Amino acid sequence: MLGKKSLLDYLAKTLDVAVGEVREDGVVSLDNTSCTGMCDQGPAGLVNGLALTRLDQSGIDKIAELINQQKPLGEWPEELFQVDDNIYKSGLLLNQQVEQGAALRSAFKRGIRETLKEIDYSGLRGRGGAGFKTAIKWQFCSEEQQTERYVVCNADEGEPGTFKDRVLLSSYADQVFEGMTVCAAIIGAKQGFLYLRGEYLHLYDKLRSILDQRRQNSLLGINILGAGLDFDIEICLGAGAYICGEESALIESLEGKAGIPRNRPPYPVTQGYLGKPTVVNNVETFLAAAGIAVNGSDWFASIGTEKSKGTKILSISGDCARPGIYEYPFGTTIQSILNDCGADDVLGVQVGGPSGTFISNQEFDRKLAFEDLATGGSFIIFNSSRNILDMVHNFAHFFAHESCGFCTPCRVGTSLLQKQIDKIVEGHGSAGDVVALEELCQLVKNYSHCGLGQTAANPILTTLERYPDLYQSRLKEISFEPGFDLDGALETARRMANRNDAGAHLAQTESEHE
Amino acid sequence: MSKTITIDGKVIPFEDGQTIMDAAMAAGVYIPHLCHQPEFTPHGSCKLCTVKVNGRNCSACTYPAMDGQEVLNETQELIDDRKRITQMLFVEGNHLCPGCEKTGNCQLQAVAYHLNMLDNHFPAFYPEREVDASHPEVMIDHNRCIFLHAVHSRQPRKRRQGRVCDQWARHPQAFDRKCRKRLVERYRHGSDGSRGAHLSDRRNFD
Repeated sequence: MLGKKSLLDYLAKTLDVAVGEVREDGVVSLDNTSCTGMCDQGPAGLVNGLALTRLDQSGIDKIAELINQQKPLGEWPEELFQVDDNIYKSGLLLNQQVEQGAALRSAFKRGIRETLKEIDYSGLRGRGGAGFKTAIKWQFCSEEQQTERYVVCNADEGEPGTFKDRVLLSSYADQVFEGMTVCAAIIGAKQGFLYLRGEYLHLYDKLRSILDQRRQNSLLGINILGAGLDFDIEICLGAGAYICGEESALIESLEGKAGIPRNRPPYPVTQGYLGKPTVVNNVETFLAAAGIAVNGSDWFASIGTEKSKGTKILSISGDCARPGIYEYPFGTTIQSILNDCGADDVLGVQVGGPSGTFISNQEFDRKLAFEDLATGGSFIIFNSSRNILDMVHNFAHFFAHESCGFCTPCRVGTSLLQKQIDKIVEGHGSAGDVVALEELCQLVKNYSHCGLGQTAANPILTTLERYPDLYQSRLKEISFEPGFDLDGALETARRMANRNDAGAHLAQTESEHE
Repeated sequence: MSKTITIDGKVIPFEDGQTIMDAAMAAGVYIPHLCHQPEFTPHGSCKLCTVKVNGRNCSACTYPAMDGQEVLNETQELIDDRKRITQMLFVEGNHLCPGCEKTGNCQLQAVAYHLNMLDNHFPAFYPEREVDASHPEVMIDHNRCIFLHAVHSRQPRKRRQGRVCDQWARHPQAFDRKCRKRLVERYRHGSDGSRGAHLSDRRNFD
């Protein structure tokens, strides 16, 4: 959205390498990536896995020069890799800096069972988007017969437009680890994992040193704080697959296998990592749990709506003056969020990323809440210069690319959706094509194996509902179905015959002749 | 009194540990399926066996039967959608029944007939897939692959085991007969000792 296309072309030209190719000397290759979680400081890139932010022409000149000199990354200027937090609005969670160990001390003092009760009374629900009640999940896991149990923190923040976990792990990691340790005490786990998305490689060393520090301070390891709890945390890096944010695919990936969602039941709380009871929660959930362990349930439950307690941390990006991190009590209207981040002339907002909901500018009185607009944190703003079909087109390609290929409706269906959207956007659609599109959306949604497929059609369905005319306007007024681009198909023949005169072109329809 | 579920109103007994598919098969009720094969751990990937369980779509081959479940199998909606899913499998690969030597003895084709599939409905992908005949005894025709075997099973209630690959390692002969997709075609050396890939030659081991 920030001129990526022209920058990419410029980079390809400067480096003298085509997009998707390796340069002849084998020094450099260039390709596109999906969202890397830097939407507040884009356009962004990755070089040898490390994030490059705020790219512009002069930055690209510099990078190209460094690459051509074959300078090791360690010698590149640091400002190229600088990642800012961009916290613009703090609330309950971001305002409070829990002292290292405070949540654990409170939990041990209060008693482990009582702490679980506090988390229950707080009404905390999972922050990844689905909103399952955290205390119930932890309780289920603690009641399992198998005593070998695991805690997993899902930091595979892959939903396009989400970057709040990056900031939480950069500046609030101690609290996140503390929340995991409280969870371990409650469910009786000895081992925890932080599943960190590969694109956040720049955080890896920092997080490891925090873990080391916690070990030295008796907050991890054997007999934590003398309370008899043995627990440690390991960081595992993802490899860039969107699907690994799905908890059972994440567990597969942790086990060293390809990220493919499991059949359920059994659920991870009964059979998760290595078939053992496992709690998987979002980064923000553990952060909130640590806060609740310190401050008690009322601190959290007094804010928010009846069904959605507490606050939600949003990653705001797109067409606004101040993209970054904003924390709001549940129940806040979309309009007031837009006012805060300086968004004018808004066409609509994609709430919850591609798998969420697109709302139009007629719905800005709707509220942030599990019962209205649920979100894992992604909030992408589009102003009226944007074309909705371009966005839908982009998301359709994203899902076709990210489908893991396990089940038929998603593997084939997302590719078919991509083809059908391409056809309509490129102007080859005819009368029945929007109806066919909708039918296909329902198939993919109703029959897919996991959340990816079940939500892959959302960008199309939510925009079809709001802007049906936009889709219809792209259709040709013909009753037959042009299965392919007639003139485009002649291109090879024209090239071979070395001619390009009017007679070498054919119109798709009679009317185009006139 | 044993536990029961109903499928389209018909009462069907089951034992603990059985899936809806297990119970249906034991009772002689057909739920269309491709990736399910009783000898293998359930997979749940083709989604053809989707049934409505208490109003929710579930894969019959992986979903445990539970007392009192109301299962819908042969509703018009499910039949129509299963047909679409089968059509997806057809357009995704290169499945040209009239010219295929498996015609008449093919589960994919049989399911398509059962669901009254008369056309592809969706635009064909026409993927370029290679026939791998590099091995002296086994060849793989990827054109007919419908991706049921590619992934290892993950039902933790049974011992973790691969599907086709493990079966192959343990009982290569049985595997010959049981490769459900007929992707792996085995042939005997010609009488003159010649070696070559015979895509159509399955006589030697059927």
